[in-house]
Amino acid sequence: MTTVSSPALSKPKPARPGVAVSLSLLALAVVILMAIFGPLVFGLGNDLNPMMRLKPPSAIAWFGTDNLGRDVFVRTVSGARNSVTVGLCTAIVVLAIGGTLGVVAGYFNWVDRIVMRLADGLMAIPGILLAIALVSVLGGGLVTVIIAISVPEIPRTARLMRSVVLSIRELPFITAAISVGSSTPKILLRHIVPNAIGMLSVQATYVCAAAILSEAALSFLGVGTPPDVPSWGNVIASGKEYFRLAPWIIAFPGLLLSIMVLSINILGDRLRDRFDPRLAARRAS
Amino acid sequence: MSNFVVRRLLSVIPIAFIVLITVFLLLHIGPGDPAALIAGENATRDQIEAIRERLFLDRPLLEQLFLYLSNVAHLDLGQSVYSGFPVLKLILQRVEPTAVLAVSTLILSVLIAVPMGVWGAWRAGSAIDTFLIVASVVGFSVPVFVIGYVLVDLFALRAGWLPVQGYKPLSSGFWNCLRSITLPSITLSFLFSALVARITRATMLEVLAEDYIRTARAKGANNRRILIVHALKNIGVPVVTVIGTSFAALLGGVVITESVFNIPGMGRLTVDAILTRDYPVVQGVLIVFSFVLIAVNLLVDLSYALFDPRVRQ
Amino acid sequence: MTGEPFLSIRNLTVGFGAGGAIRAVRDVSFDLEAGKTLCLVGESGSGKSVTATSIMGLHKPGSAHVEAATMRLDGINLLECDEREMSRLRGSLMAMIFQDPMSSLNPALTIGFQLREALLLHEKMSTRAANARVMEVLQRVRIPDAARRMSAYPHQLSGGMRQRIMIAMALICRPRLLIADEPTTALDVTVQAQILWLLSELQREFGTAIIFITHDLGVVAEIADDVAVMYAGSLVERGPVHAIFENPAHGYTAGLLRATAEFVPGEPSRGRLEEIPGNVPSFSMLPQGCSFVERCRFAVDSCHRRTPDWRDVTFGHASRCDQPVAYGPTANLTVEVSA
Repeated sequence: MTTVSSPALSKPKPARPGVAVSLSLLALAVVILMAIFGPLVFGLGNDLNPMMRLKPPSAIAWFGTDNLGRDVFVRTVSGARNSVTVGLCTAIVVLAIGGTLGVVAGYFNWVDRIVMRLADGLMAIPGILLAIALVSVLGGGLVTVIIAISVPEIPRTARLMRSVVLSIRELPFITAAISVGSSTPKILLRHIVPNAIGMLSVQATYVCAAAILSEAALSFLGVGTPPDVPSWGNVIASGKEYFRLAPWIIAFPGLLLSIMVLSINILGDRLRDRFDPRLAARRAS
Repeated sequence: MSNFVVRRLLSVIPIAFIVLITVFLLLHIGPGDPAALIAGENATRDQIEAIRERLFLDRPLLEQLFLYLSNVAHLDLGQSVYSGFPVLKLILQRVEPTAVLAVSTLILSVLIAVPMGVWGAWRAGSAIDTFLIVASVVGFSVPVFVIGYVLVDLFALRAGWLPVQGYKPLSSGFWNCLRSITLPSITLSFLFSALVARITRATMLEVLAEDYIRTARAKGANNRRILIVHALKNIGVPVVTVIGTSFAALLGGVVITESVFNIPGMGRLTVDAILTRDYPVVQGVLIVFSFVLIAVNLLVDLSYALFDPRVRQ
Repeated sequence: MTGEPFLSIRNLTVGFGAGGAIRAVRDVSFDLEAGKTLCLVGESGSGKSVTATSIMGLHKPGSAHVEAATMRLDGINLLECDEREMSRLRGSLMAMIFQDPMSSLNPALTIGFQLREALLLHEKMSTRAANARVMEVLQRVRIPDAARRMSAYPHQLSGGMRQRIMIAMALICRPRLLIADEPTTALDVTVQAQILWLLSELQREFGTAIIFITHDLGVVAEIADDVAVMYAGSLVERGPVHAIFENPAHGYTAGLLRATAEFVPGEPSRGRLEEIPGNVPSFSMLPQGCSFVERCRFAVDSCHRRTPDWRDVTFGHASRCDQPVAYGPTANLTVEVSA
């Protein structure tokens, strides 16, 4: 109030995408193209070639070869499919279940008590450990990995959406809608959900990034997707024993993995700057 | 105050119950027979039946749950299917490296992250601040194992300053232990300090914009005094909160870091147990990790009283 | 009069944004004698607080471009003071009370600590001696049970109590200039009256000069010696409180008076409030000519063409309006101005 009282100052800057955001979008586009076309163009890179074991990057194998003589470039490019699939599917599953639970909990007190208790309990188990245990019980496979990674993420998302709904609920237009006799489902769908979409999309990016990291971690620990389908995590895992001899097995998929997660997080931060009600309130004041 | 402590202590009970029930149910949510799951693919019918009997898997589910809870209450986490040793004993053997790694990472991260976050906020918009923002996004985007291998490559393989892998116990001397844990701690600190620095910076920015900071300036307090006396105490609650909420990520990171650096801690125990389908061990480790997490968050809540006089009443 | 006034501001201009392009205060000049009270009056956003913050040098570093021909306080050229010298003056020579006593007190520190701070910073004093001084001042601002309050935290006190603490904090080093930025706005009416009374009592005792920022003309009538009216970043009228109230010489001042109920009692024909039509223009879109022209009922063609210069109405009473006669005399409004 004292320092800046001019209304002109509080106008948000014109939205320019910025270098970081443009680069992130570019990186994601490349990774998605790799995920779609990689396996079609290059295959899965499962051909063993004992003569070509642990060869450094060269014109024949751009990213070198692993301990079984498999081409790391091919496996890295094709492995993008696994990471992208896990990231997207987990985000969808988590948002659908967690988001619904959160919205309902934010609106009905008795649901709230049950859901939040359960969420507290589940959040008390370190996520990656719970995921490891779930994979080992449910058996390997892409679907299992997605389920295992989703379970620990759901309570966090439910909590977040609940708090968003609780704050929207206090806004005057909800009171107005209630007072003119709108039904509860109508209020939820017409007024609350559209206003929560912004934060939901922010959360989607974070869940997606976390899921990709978790999948890589699971594969790295040897409990992720099966080794005959390349993923960045299991390519890195295959290089674990040889990292002194053949660092390239870890370096290239590791670099791609890092760039992808970084890009998603940068986009998420940008979305958050846009949608976070607290930040928005500060801009407007 | 005591009211607050009691309420907080009581709130732990349902959380602990849900953890125990979840861990118990783990074995039963799988598609097949839990006894066969534990026995492994090549087990004979007799072996499976033996396991079923030993783990009470033939009893009704509720009775099993009750037995399980009462065993845990008596500090009996069962026996390893693989080695036959009590799970608790196996875990206790592995506690030290994990505890040393977690604590050293915690200390290192807080020492790095809090000053960085405060500095970034104080010089908001400067080159240092921009560096901090970039570093923290990178810090929690790059996977722990990638950072680990990069550091090993640079500081162990190329420079030769630190051991590549392995763990030296405290009994071999503090400095030996510290040397062996330095690279793992730095590795894990990237993730943890990124999370803490981000929140510290955001909170500090908020606090610096508060009216009471202006009041302090109006009284003639200089910059250093404003920072140390007036601002720091007010970022305490959010900062310890994020330390608590990120502790789960830290424990997850411990498991991966132990694998990268070949540290024989609880994380390795978990991974080995999973690869050998030693479910009682898996369950035991999950319980211990979860209870540590619950305890840390309880401490975090209780520490609010240190920073915020409103909690103390 | 020894020539130089106690506080003298000439052509103060404050800009925000890139290159200071958004000028929240333009060309403000006024003087204040020791022991007198000047009320800065205007709607929110008119630049009152920015003016005060500039005198105290309290803008966030790098956020504001402050320029002035003169800014002298008690013989000190404030324009030449660096941040270190300013922080030595703040709290000792000049002090400030803020609008919201809740957010202006640090929630994590005790009342005693916050009260002592200025003393320990500016006067070489032991904590024990400082505590004695604090107790004394707390009693002066009528805080009951002062010893116990010292170890209390802000959230344990009521709003009125907190504002007294703020006043005690500002007065603890006996500043010669006190800036009070709407100190009673957040309080209810009875508490408000007590605070005003307290301020003028303390002023008599210590001889403090006060700049009182408010948009409440009732408060102005209560405490002001002089009044300066601000509109859209500029001063539009200034003079002794009697002159301003009885014979407003600017369309904006006249509008403010008409919009205030207390000044038209016993006059049934004028017994309704008139609001000033329209809104304060934003700094980036000021109209040509007089900045008030679009809302002024008396505007004529020439008002649109040029910005009026200062024009003396009576001795010490000046206005930036080309036709000050148009409004007055509103003298038959019963104004109760307490001396």
